Amino acid sequence: MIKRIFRHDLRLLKADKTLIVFAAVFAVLIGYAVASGLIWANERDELVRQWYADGEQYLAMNRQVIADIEQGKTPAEESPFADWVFAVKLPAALPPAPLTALSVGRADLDPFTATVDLYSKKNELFKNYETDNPTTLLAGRFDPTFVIIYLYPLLIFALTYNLLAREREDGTLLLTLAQPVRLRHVAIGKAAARLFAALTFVIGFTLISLLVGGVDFAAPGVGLGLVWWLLLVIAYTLFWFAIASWVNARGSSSATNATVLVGVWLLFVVVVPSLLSIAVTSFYPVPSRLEFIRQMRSNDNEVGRSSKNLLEQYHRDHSELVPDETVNIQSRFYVLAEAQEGRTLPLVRAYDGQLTRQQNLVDRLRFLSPAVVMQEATNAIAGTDRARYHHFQKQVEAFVDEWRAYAVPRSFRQINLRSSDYDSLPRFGFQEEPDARVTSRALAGLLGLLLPTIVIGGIALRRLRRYPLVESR
Amino acid sequence: MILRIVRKEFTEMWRDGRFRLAAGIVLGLLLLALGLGWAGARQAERERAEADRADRAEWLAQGKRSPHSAAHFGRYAFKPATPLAFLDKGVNSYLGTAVWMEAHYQNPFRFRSAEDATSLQRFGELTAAVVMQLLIPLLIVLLAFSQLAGERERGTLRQLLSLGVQPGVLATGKALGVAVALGVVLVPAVLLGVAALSVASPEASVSWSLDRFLLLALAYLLYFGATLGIALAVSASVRSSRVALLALFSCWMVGCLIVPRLAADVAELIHPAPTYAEFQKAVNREFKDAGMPDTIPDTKKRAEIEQRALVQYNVTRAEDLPVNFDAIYLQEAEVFGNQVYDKHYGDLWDIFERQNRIQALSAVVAPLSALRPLSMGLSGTDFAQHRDFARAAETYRRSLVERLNLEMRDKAGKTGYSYLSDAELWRSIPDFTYAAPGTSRVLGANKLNIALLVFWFVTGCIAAIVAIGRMKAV
Repeated sequence: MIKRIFRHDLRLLKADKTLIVFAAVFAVLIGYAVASGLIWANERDELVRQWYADGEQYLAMNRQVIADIEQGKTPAEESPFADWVFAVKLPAALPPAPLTALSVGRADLDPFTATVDLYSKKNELFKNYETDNPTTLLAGRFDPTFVIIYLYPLLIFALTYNLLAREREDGTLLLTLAQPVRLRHVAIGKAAARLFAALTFVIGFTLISLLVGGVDFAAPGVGLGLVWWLLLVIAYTLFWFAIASWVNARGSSSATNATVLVGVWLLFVVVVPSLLSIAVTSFYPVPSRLEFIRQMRSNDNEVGRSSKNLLEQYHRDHSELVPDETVNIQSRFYVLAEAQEGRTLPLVRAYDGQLTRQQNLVDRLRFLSPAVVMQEATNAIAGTDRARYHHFQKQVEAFVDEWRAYAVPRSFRQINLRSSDYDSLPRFGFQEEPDARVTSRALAGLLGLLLPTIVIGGIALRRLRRYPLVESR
Repeated sequence: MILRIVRKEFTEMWRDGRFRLAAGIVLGLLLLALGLGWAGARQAERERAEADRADRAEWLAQGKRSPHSAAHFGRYAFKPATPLAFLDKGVNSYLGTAVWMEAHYQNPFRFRSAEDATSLQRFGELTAAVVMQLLIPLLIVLLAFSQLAGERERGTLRQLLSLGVQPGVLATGKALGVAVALGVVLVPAVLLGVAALSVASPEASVSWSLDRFLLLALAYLLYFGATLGIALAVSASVRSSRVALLALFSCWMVGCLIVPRLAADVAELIHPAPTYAEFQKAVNREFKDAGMPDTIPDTKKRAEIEQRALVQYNVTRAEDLPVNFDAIYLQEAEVFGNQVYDKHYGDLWDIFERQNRIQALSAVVAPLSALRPLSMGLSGTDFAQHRDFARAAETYRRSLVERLNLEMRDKAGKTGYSYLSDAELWRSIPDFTYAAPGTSRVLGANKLNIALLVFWFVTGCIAAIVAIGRMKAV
């Protein structure tokens, strides 16, 4: 029986052009969003590639200068410091994950490039902000996640707000129920028809757009990520259908239904995330950035004043490095930089600690809103969440340690680099996170969407028993 | 007659539980946003004042140092929040709040608050402006969609028109009825806003703030009026109230959610900005080509400057110069660097402003695109305001570095970098002060937005009157 109602309703939707209109709207919105996301991802890819290329070019140039001096082609006085170890600058950058096009997330805010050299301080590594118009950042990106989280529920409402109310207002509901069919079967059949239409459009157009955009489904991480994303979209769809069913089951007019649905959308997509944000910042307020600057400046002053003591201290701590009391200027700068880092890094860690605690609270409270659940899960799949960025930051800091292990002894022993040394310098390579993390987040998101769906769906079905078949005026 | 219609409409709306619920929620959110915004702004201002004090203290506590080292230590400038920033945060979260003013470099602003936040930040922050720009129009739609279509469905429209009510009178009465109902939400919020303003700002800026507050109120009223007019027009023209509601919700979705993002994309497409890497490379190339890198002075360029100094001071050998030459070179490098930065930052910021103009043009399709930049501009939280502050900080930086370089030139003599100055010099340099631009400048910069907002208001009014005039009773 449900199947018959399902097929019949699909035919009705096709006949009154609803399907065509919705197909067109979905196609345009999703097509544009995927295109926009892909363009952004490709640009980011290009920027990372260019960053490494520029870094390598600089190293190659320096190597050439040293080689020329070695071969006597140019006098050493022209580039007196070219072979000093501080002249080496190594590039590091965070490449976009394969499915970044799905969700830009935080990636347009966080600095994704860094340069590592002898004087790098771990608290100052990431300050290369992209030159983005702040008004554009404020508006946000038109990526697939925006369409799915914000616009898709509204489209679902447009499909379902008058699921039963329309038939009741037209008078055909009573006629239908005079047949040997239960109201709940009618409701399920009609809902299923629209669910099928919505899912076909969303999934179909997304996959087509990705294909047209040239995404390689066979690349590592892409296939699995896409499967998770599709499952999440299906779960999100089911959630909003459950909400729509419940609203319909209350038995109000279609106008009231539409209003209540928009109200629920506002609640979950606008109000709850804002209130959550206020809650986490009240529980774990981040220390003042201005205070951070004051401490940093105070540290700089202190270090500058006590530079002689610092050098003596360094002698004592690293006697193996300093053959005698005279320290070259390069090493002197290094000692000062390291001291500044030592004083300021705890402040940075305290800062990060609070932010991490905030994010952990968000992780626990996100189940209050399907929009937040969906966004967190999608960002994890697209590799644009804070966790992956932290992963990158940790790796760059580890690379700073690696470079110091190479460069600091050479600096103190005044061992300068030969051109052949340039061929064996350590390089930064970003290691992706293990898949398990993304999988666990996606799974948590899925459960966070499905469980409320089942509960709300159950309530809706129960409410149907008291459905007023005749409108009360 | 109008008053009678207004009274009837308001009573009907007030008795409707849905309106009371919706209005209560919106009012609650608005008050929450105002309260939080105001508390946050006070906190931020306290922190900023403290930071300014601390920066001066650190500057004076440098001890004995060469003037050039002091120029490298530099000063920090902290962007003050305008008194109305608690209403509309604008783009402030995406702009840094502090800039390091040091020698050789025009540094970017650091510490954007959007970065120091969880992923929830991308859902947007709840400010009074957001509530008024997004939620009040929904409330208007809720109140207005069945004003005329509903009457037609209930059958009362025929009776109403048979009384000979003029379409203009009917339109005005209905509109005012909705406006009075809306006033239940807006008036308490406005009163609270004025109270917050008078408490928060220092005496001198109260008149500045009240001016802008009134202009803001006017702008929002135009926006609400336009929304109301369109809603009434749709309600009058469409067959059923259900279709009217759908149509108005769709307009809201397109106008408030889709168009702003789309416009930002289009603006970037038409006027692309250079990336960070391109910007840095371009700046560095100019320095390299001119032979004025910041660290190692190029011998040819240095010789040129030395020649000029010899002529200026009327001596034949560098050893005879009565002043320190390194300082002269440093200042020359500084002047050169300044014009490079002026050009590149100027170009970059001009591109941003051109992008913003394109976004403003999208107001032809959606009135929110005209209101938002105007609201940000009047609250002092738009990009133009930031650019003004950055320009002022940069001017101070240049004067600070020049003062220090000249000190080294005149006093260092042969000791060069080993010449040490002390707190007397640090104290003698005045602090950075900043005065925000006046209201007339903001209005001048937002002429297009004001015009489009007025255009939408007039369109709304005319559309409502025309649609009601052409209504069919059945």
